[in-house]
Amino acid sequence: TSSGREDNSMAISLLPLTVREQLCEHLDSLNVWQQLAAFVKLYPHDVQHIQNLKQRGQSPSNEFLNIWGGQYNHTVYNLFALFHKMKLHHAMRIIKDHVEEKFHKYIPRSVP
Amino acid sequence: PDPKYSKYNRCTELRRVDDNDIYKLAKILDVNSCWRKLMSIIPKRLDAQACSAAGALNYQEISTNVGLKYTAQEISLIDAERLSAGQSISQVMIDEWKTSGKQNERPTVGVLLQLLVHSEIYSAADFVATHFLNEPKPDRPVDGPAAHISLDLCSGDL
Repeated sequence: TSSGREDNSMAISLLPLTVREQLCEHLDSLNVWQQLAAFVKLYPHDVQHIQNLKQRGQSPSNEFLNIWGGQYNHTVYNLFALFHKMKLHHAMRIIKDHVEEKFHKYIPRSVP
Repeated sequence: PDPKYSKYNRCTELRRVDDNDIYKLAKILDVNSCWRKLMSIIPKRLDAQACSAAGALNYQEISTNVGLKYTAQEISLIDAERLSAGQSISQVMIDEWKTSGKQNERPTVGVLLQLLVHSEIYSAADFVATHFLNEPKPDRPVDGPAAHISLDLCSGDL
């Protein structure tokens, strides 16, 4: 697809640690990793792997990012778009400084 | 267009690739045990030179006709290797693969790239395409976990 041309953002794996931790904490609190995995169509063995790590007390969202961002080499822009499609607006805000400003309009204003 | 400089070409054997470049590749393949995914799909008795060019490796045909090079047991043997400090498990795997087979079976950069795309290890495929070959990143499928997700841009946004 031509969508890649719009994208100058960094790889998900290069997100600063503080941003990544804040993001994972937020996604884990919403417990949305299974929806994320289903949306991007992760294979069953990868979903099972995340489930196993979760049972051992590790962050499932962090492992989701390891796989979708790591093996598949997706960018922060792709992640931002994923959050937009799943209406995870606060998650979009957490990573917004790492996508171009022209995309910020996709984040709805927060409702009090 | 200007001829582009690239450090290797698709016919370069992996054993001719600098150790430092293999190491960078190995660190990428360590993530999510991607080396295991790669190792498990390597075809047996591959004519590597004949399959090196872009699109020359017809994976379905080759793997159906000749089968796979490594068994599950051989893969778990790699897994059980004791690593020295700074060594990566993927490096052990590549060291085994790159020196294996007869002359024409020695894996090349072109074969590696096509196998990486086939197994959807795009982190390593993008790295090999850009850093080893100075080629554009390989195309993504339109569906599945490797597909790009983008914001739905209205015409006014472009």
